Amino acid sequence: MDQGEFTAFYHETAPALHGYIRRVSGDGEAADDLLQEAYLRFLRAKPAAEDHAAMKAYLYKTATAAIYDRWRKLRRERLWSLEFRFREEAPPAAGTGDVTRCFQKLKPRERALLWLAYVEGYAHDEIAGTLDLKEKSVRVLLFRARHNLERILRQNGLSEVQP
Amino acid sequence: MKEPEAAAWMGRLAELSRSEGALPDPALIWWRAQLLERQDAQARVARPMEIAQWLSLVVAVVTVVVLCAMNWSGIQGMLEPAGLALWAVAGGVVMVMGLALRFVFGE
Repeated sequence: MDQGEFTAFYHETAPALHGYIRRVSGDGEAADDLLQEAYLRFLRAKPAAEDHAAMKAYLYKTATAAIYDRWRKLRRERLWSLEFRFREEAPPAAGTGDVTRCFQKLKPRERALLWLAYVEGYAHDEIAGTLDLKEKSVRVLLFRARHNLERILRQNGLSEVQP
Repeated sequence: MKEPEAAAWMGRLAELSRSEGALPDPALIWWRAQLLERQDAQARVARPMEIAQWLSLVVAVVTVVVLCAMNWSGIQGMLEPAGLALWAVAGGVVMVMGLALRFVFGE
């Protein structure tokens, strides 16, 4: 992949990937850093610029790994600083509305599942590959994620509102 | 919640997410990737030398230990009359040498 191909691929994928990182990590401030980290890991793996779908799937896999690595790092830092708050992630960015706040109340993996399935339109096997899950589990986990989203929307009085 | 409803909510969320802020420059990411690749290449080249350095250190330490063990009675005879002070000096020299080696190999 040369620089021109990368730039075109970046412009095509970055806006959606930024949204994915922002919503799944729940950390608006770190989203830019995580985006760069995801593309750096992607480039260092030297992908062949032939199969576009496979490249995109790999990019989401690297982004998910970068998000998980950041969580682990933050957890370690909290542990070492003796700051036992047991929070999974930073609070959502301000001013992004009720839908966003409800989404942040889901578990990180549920957020990733819902995004990949309904924003990116990934099939179950692609989701399984991206999130390192078994293909059979994806259907069940996705059902639970939808159920939990509905519950949270209902608790926040949004279930009757049209999306 | 049915799938179409979930898709509609997620679509709304994606719209909210896309409209915020400017993205990092792809040229900068490309440049950083090239830089990291060069650093990786340099590290790959330096790796055999690093291994050889550590190997030589291990050989040197083993040689000193074996020589000391072989001539232990002579060393003991040399150090005993001087007593504790000389043992302390010998220990200090070993520690300083260890730190110096750590410094050299740590670079």
